Amino acid sequence: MEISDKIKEAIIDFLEGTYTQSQADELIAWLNIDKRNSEYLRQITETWHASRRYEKDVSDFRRGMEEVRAKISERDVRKIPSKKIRLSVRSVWTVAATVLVLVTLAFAGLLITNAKNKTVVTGKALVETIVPKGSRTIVTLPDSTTIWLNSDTKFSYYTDYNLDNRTVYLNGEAYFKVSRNEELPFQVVTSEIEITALGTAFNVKAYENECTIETTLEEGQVAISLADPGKKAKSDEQVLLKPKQVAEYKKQTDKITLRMQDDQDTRKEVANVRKPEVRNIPSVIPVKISEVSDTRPYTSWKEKRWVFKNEKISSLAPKLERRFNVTIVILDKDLEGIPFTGTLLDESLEQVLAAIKLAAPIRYEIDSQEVRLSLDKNLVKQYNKYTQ
Amino acid sequence: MLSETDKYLVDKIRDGDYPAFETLFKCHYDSLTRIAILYVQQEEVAEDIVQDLFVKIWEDPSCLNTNVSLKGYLGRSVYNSCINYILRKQHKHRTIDQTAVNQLNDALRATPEDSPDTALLIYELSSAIEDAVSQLPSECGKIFRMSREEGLSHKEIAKRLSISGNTVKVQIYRALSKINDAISEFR
Repeated sequence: MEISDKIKEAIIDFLEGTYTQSQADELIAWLNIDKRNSEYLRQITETWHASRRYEKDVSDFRRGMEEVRAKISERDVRKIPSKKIRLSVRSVWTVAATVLVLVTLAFAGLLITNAKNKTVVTGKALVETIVPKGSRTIVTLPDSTTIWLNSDTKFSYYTDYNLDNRTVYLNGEAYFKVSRNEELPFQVVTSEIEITALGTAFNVKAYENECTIETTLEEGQVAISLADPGKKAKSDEQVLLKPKQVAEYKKQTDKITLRMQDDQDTRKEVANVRKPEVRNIPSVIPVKISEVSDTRPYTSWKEKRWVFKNEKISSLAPKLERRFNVTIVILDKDLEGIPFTGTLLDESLEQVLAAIKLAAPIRYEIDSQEVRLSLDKNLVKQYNKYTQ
Repeated sequence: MLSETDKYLVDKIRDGDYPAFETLFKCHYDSLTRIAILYVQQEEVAEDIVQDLFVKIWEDPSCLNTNVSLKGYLGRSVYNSCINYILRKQHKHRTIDQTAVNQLNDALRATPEDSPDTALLIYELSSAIEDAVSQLPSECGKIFRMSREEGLSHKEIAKRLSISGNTVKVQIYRALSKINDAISEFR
């Protein structure tokens, strides 16, 4: 590329910022001759600046971040989710969780078909979080709602969340701290029931391989209704929960099978079925409500201190299986009914089993991914002494 | 294309995840500020330019849906803001009319497509640039170092070396052109 001395001088003057109006005009005329001249000038400009020597300390990231935060708040175009939640998320969650997040770019329409079996293309994308066994994680949604996801859980929502719905889908266990929004109720859809809330905190346990769906309310109010999409006016039939109540829904909706179950001592049964007062048609939601003095046994899986109260080994085992990604084999049938009360700190599987052994007459063997529990006959005698 | 990790971050930011946004900021703030400082030569201005880019990203994360790497996109954005800043400043202090400034700005503006996905940013090439400078003819290299390393204007260099200003300019141009050729393979 032949470039005249005049242009070369103009370029250097331009780079130094000492160019005149006539030099600017010459440069522009030269740029207009050939498109490649612009590209060339850009490269020369980059080289000019890049070859400058400049000593600089490492930038203060924290100060920069604070300044950005201030600018964002001042402009108020897109709000920052509240800091309180952000901090609590970090402090609560110290265990690094491996999470596989899949953004399914498939259109919602490919997944949902309407009654006439026509595909409804809505242009929404599904955002899905899959938490494998042995992991837990926290998800914060656009409206600042925070969700703790337990091990072996699939959680998803569509990209229009917080626009005209606040619906999420759960297969597994999650604890929800829902931001208040009277206009858009927050809705958790499980395989068979839906839980609707405004601003509240509650826990839902809805594992595929368990025969119940358990909802525990800590604050506020939630309503439980059937999640049968074919059913009209499903919202008419609902069960309201008050704080410190646990609703146990028995799967298989065609029958009201209220099993009398040998419960934890702290639970006090208040009603088998609840329905809105105005309705006189019996509710068909097979749900059993119990009042508990302490909700921690239901919700503390997300904390460092995992609390158990009279939890039977048979119900403790699947929780440990998910938490530690192991298989637990209970060799003695008698073991299943033994209650365990205690607090497990953030401990390894071995430490947890040792802790349980202190409170229950068990013997355990760990063989890579399998744990075998059996009854320790000698210990049984000792325990019986204490309990009598 | 965005890498998997970048895509994950961008998706999180779009979903309103501020900590993810902070992670992105933390990853790029220092290197981008270093780029900006080469152009604007004032730390405060450089920081402002980079911070404003991130404010824009938070407000409209869709701007990150780019077909080049995230690093490439951010580098180009900072470059464009710096050129804009320099030209506006020159316009303020000198009597160059607005139309000319706009035309020069347009010519210098880099679109992300200007850089192929694999290209290194020129600012990562400081050692290649140093090599190229060391291979310049002695007089040419001396003048170029006075300009770039000591920050002298061509007038000052001409005075010190008792040569004409035009000679200095042509030598600096020669040096830039040679360095440009030497590093072209990386672009």
